[in-house]
Amino acid sequence: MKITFDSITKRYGELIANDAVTVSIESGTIHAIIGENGAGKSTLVKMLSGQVTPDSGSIAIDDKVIKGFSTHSAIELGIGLLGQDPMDFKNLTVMQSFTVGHRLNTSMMRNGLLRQEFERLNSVYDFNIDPKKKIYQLSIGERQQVELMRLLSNGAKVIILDEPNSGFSLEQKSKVFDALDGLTEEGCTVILVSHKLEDVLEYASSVSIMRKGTLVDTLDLPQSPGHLVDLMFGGHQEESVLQTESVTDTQNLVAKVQQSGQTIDLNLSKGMMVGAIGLQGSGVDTFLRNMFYDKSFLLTDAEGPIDKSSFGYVPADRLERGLFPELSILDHHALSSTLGHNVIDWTQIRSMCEDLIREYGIIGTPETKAHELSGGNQQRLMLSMMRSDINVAMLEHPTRGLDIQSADYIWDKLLNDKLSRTVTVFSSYDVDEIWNYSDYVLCFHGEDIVASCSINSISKTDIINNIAGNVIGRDE
Amino acid sequence: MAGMNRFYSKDSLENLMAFGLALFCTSILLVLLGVSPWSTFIAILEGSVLGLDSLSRVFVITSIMSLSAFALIVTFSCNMWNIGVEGQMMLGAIGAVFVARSFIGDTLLSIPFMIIAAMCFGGIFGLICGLLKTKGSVHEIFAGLGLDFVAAGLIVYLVIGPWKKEGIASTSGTDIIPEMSWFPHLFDFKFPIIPILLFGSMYLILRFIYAKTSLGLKLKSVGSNTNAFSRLGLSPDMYILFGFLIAGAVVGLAGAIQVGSIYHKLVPYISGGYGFLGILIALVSGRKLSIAIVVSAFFACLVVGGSTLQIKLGLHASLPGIIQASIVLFWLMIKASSVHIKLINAVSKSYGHS
Amino acid sequence: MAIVEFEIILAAIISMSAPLVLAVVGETISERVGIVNLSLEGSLLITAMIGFAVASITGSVLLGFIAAALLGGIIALLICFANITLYINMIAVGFTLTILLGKLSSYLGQPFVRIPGPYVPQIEVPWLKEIPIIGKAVIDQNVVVWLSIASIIIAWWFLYKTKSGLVLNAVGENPYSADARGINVKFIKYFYGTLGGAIVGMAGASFSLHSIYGWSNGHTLNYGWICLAIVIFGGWNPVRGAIGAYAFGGLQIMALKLQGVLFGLSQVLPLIPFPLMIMSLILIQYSQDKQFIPNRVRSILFGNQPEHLGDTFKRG
Repeated sequence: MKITFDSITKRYGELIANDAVTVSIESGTIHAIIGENGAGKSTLVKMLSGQVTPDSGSIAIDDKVIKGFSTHSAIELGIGLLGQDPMDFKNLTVMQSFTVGHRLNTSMMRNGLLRQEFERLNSVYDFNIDPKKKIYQLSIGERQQVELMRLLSNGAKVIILDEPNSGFSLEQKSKVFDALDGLTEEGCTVILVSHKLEDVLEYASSVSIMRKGTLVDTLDLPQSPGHLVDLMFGGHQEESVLQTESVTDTQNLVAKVQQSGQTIDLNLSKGMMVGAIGLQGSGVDTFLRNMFYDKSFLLTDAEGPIDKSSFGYVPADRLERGLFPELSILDHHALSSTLGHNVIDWTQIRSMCEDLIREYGIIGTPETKAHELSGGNQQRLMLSMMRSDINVAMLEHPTRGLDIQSADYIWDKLLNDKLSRTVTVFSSYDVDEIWNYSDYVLCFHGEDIVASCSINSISKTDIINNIAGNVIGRDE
Repeated sequence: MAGMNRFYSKDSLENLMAFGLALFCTSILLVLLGVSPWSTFIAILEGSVLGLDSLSRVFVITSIMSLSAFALIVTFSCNMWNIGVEGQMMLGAIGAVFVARSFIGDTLLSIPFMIIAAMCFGGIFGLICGLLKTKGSVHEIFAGLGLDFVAAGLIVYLVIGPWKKEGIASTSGTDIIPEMSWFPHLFDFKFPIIPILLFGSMYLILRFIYAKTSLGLKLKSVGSNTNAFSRLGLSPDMYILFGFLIAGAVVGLAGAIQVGSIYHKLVPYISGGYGFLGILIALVSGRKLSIAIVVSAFFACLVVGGSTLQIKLGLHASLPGIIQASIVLFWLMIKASSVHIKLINAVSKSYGHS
Repeated sequence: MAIVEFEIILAAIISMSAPLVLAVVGETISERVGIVNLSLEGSLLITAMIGFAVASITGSVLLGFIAAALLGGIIALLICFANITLYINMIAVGFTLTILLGKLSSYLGQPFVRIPGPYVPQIEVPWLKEIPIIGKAVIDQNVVVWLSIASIIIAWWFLYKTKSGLVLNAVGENPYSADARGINVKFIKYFYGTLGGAIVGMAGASFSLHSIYGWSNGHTLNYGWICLAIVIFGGWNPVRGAIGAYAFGGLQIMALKLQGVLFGLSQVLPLIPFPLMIMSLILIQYSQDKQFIPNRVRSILFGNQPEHLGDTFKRG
């Protein structure tokens, strides 16, 4: 089936998730959609699976415009979505999970028929899954395989893979894509939403690149990975300003990093701003979290390991892991400052809170609850909660989803404070942020750190090539 | 600040409207049951607040209900149900009787020690529920329910076993405790000074904890987001346990009141369902301590006045319970469907207010 | 002689446990679809009262059962409405209903307290009752006992052997996955939640019309709570739940026999299921955390809690 998105627009409040996106996907191809996080890929495909309704624009299947998409009508049309997490039932058996909602499964259990169907698909695609096992006994990859079989068996003609590959082993992945390849020959269309460039390059025949809600380009593959990353990150200008106060390498700080089994020593200097970069799905996602929670991660200066209690961590998912949704700004400041004290001096806290609200430009009163704040203000609140005696500041994607003004403010703040701290570490998917604001860069590809060096000794192109997996890392 | 006040009054207007509607729906239910709501409420009012005897009982029962509701409000603040409140009250009663039966039972020391023992016993039982939740991953609702019946079993065992009446064992209770262990009334007004002191001081202490201390703030935070809580380097489990410990200790006092002011002995199911009623009160009072006291007083009037209903109007003793539970049920439904807000808007529109 | 005595005791256990078995089966069905009907204690009381009242007034035991089943269904429907449509916490509603219904049963049941009334008659089945053991224990009983035994088998067959049962389980396991497959989750929850309540209603009627004739205040005292405990102890499986109910019935018969020897046993006995419930919950959790128990043994011994039990389903 041929799928055409025609000037699709979707807004979430201030944020434009999709801005007049027009893409045409040919029948019988594997078409990839790539872009950095928040580029609007997921929103786009969720309109096809009926989970999201566009504000304007239309979707046509085989040149016929479909009106009023719902999850139910998408299933009827033969559109199947394989999401990040398998949508199955942990305590049921594989066969049962395969059966629930199956079109063949009308009134009574047509057990024989469905089992035959399962066994047929299982052997055609060489998945080797035991139908008697319970779902919780399978790996994520196997569960995705069961889901895929179910979608196909239900007559799906369009398969959307929305970043499902994180759970696949290499063998599983190749089996799944072999299966999908075979399907395209029968006229099925596969849409692959992914961050893994190598998958896209290996399996897809065409690719659409999205950036900040707009479609940058649609290209036939193969292309060079560097070019694709360039397009994803919006092309870079080599002339962009280097930071004014670069910290020189005195190397008085050693970080012992345990990343996928190997130990890496990073030679840092006091006051440095360290930027960690990688594509989504690479080790950069969990790097800071591990650094904060993992006891074996050590940061050592001349006097020995730095006490973890002087680490401050700002997670990316603000309301899920960072803030207390029901609590006011005042409560948040009271919590972060009275740690260790018993009785709270509210007048003091209030004046401190009001100062911080002013200093960090938070739009809200001390009584405003965290969930009532906008994303930018939540981020400012988290920064304002960092105690002044923090030695090591760790920030995941400090400006993700923020408007330019908020982002600039936060960078100013971080650069301003960096010299008073032992080290500031942040992670980002954005090359420009790394290039503009860090003194030292860690490049992630897969689970590994493939390059770690001072920003002065690496070029922007090298960073892009490193995270795209194009160049063997050049450690210093 | 003016904005704050307006917000507050709008909030209380909404609550008042919801309560009024719930009361109205309950009245309809009463009519359906063949009872006149008006004469019922009048009789209840007369039977509860007029007369020293009944007023004294109202105070005692208000204390017991408030303490139960407080115990729920504490665990609700950590986002936990405390269905084990009945059992914690029973353990409090056991603690009090334990002291009263001991060698100090006939001395002036008895009452203070009864109170301390009740708090300890109740607190420990609350802690067990918390441990089952945090260490055993047993859902706190089922853990609490189970522990309620374990406590009930413990009392039955004590009453027919080690603490059995002299002569023949019977489930009607243990021997009466020494009079030195009875909670005294003040002067001749039958003013129950100790229950009022107990729930009054608990109210002040809890208010202080929640308003002024970092413990209170942490109890609230752990209920709001455990992930963010551990990011601050704090242990969620520890504060959940704290919550259950405090709740158990608070409602343990209600057990001491049951022993010291009402029964003067240990009887099976000594909690009398007031713990469960405390759950309803906590739900309907929006988890606010002061409102819980008001609702408790209202519910206590229903209980005390209800007993005169039977004599005066020939109505069954179960009526107060029906009124209490139906108010709470309608309140929950009205709040969730925001009928009350729609009604306020409709009224204010028809009067031309903005 | 020993065989005869055994037969009599077995028959007594099966007969006496019939209401509890029905209640356990009903609640198991509700909980499997994710609805915790915490009002059980109150539901049993008021349906026992209504069942007896309707049967007394009309003289028809059947009408009594129908009325009780309808009322049980309406109560469950109310909980479903509060949770599925109004998104109220089902524990809060169930708990409030427990108290309301319990008191209502005392109030409305006043005219029926300790009056003689109809009960489910014994039906003579010639020949079949001569079969050793089964004849006495199963055949030589009344319709209610047969119904309770049938309910176990039907519930088991339905939950584990039919497509509709599979959908029921799937919704309780993960309503969001079921929703993504085009299943009408809210309808399924409403339907089985209400059905479970109706079965609980029949359990109530079988208290007053079969096991403990008539009506008095607190007639089914604590059986609702006990039933909640047994459902968990049975690992949300109707067969194992029923075994739990029969075991409990057996303990009660034993307590009656030992009443003279061990005073107070009958008071402590009804409390036994609760520590067992806590223990089985710990074991379920522990066995899931530590993978040392083989999965087959684990699912036989402990059963699986429906993953989204008691959760409010709300689309993102």
